[in-house]
Amino acid sequence: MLLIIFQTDYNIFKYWQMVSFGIGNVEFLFLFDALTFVMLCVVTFISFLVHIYSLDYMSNDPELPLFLSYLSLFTFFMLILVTSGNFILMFMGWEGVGLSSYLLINFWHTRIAANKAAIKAVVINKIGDVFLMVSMAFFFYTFHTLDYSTMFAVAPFIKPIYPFLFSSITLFDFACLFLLCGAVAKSAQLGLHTWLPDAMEGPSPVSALIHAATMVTAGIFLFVRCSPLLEFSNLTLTIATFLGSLTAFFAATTALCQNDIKRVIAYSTCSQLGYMLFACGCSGYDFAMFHLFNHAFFKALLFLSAGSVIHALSDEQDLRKMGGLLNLLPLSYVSILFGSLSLMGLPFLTGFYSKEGILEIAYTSYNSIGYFSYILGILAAFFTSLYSIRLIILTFLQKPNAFRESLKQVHDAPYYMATAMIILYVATISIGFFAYDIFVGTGTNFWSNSLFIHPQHFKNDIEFIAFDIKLIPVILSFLACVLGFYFYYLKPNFLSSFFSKPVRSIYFFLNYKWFFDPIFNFFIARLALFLGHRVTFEILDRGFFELLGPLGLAKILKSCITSTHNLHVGYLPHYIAYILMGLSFIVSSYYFDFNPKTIHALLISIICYIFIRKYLFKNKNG
Amino acid sequence: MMELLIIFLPFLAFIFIITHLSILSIRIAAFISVGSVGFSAIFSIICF
Repeated sequence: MLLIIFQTDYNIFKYWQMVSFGIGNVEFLFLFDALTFVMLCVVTFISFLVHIYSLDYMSNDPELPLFLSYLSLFTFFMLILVTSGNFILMFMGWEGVGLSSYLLINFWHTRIAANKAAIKAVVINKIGDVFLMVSMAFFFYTFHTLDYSTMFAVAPFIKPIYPFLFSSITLFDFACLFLLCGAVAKSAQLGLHTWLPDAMEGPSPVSALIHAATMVTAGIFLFVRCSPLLEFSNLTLTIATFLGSLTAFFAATTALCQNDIKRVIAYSTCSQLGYMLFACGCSGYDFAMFHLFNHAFFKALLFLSAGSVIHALSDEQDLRKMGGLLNLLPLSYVSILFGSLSLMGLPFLTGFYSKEGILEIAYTSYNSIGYFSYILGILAAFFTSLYSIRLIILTFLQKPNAFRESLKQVHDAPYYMATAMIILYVATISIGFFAYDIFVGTGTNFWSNSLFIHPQHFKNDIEFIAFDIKLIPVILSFLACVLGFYFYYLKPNFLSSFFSKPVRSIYFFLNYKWFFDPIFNFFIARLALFLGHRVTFEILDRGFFELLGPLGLAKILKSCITSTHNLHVGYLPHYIAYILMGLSFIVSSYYFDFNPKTIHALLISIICYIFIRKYLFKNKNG
Repeated sequence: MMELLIIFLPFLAFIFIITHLSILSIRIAAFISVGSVGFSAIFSIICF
């Protein structure tokens, strides 16, 4: 049954009922508002271009139809995620994109590295999924529904009702915190970020579509979608700001010392997602969505251009083995150059408008966490410029380090790849300028009811902050450009001459990604494996459940058989006793209805048994 | 119904390609997949 409900600013489409149970109904419910349409445009447009790009990129792969169908499946689940009108349908999309991500990372499934990366992505995403499920359970307990519209309408009145453990933290806060954890895993924020750089083992179009433009932004989208809930949990917003700014800084510094071209861009994605998260934490949801929109274009362009370079160099991804490609791959060079300039926030390119806005939002929070995120944000902007310049110089401008044979075969992007890149290239230059006034311009009513900002968190000082404060990130970016150009291009030996022990240790610290992987493996993975073996496997699975289940049943059966066997002694009086016992049981069973009569009958039969047994034994002994 | 088309066209393409994988040529699969997502993109931009 098609029931269309038109409301003032957004449309809810109820199509059919999925599940109906005692305490609620789950429906196929789609919500179309400004937020949905922004995501729809991003997902379908980038997906379309990536499909086109894949036709050339994967042309030598015999399984291209399968690859395209997986891309279509991913697009479908992503569309379900962004259009859903309740948490259940959203969660279906959320799981679906996780599954598609696994299939696409592991597309070249004969490679061990791809297998490992895909499993890692699934496991870490599952951690986030569990958090999200717990969050949904808490929300259901609080609201008795999981429909967005009802929850958002009731949210302002719900908070003080359920105090939990401490007086200041409520169950609602916990639900929001778990929601944040789910978003953190999906959007590769600090702590649960390690799957994203490893996911670069997949084909480059996958990296562009899933790990830059769409799936990783699902966490941010969820955060923005739930703004009417999260605005009532200051604790969650504060933690999101803290975590987002740390991620932005951490990922930018790590990208500086990576040598794989796609890993550099992956860490850059982490960093930009950090910007979006702390914008959400500072209640700048419109700027977060604007950055998400812009980032999708320039990061997809960067990944597709990087894919073009890798394709040209016969699957070589190491920056140290590139160089001198400026004249050989002019289109890729221009694409990476403008993608990087946009990423750095060079004035009037796409990234500039949203990045500046996010930093200004943090600054105008006028609280300690706001200043903290602002400082980390501008430091991250500095490092962003530095690693972008490093990437450009090492790939295109330095002396060629590739093998002669591979350089001989280098060719720029074929027709389809070039088409996708050129469209994204135009978007990277212009879309920020055109979309600024629509998305975040002064007085715009574009977002309407889809975003909610609590009056206490409302900021209207962004247009009025001092010009020099606005200039700081741009100046730092330019400074990083100049420094990067000087140290990596003009004086490439200068840095290595400083390679004293402290500098080396800093380099290793950043190159090993702040030692997150070893720390996780040592403290968490080992502990989890130990607990999994000792507790889950040995004590529970092979111990408790085995004893209750097959092993215990077999033991009981064996002892029953032994005792029954012992009854067959071959004496006639024993058999008479058993017959009498049976008779007494049958007689007493007439009274078997758990009342005093039954107990009375049972007692009589037991006494009879004892008397008979005594008599028989006496006879036997006598 | 445009909204339903936007959402379900890619899924239909997936189902069609998967069920006909053994007999589809790469060109046909590409046409179906790119076409469906392309239509979704055009519809969503119109809705926007």
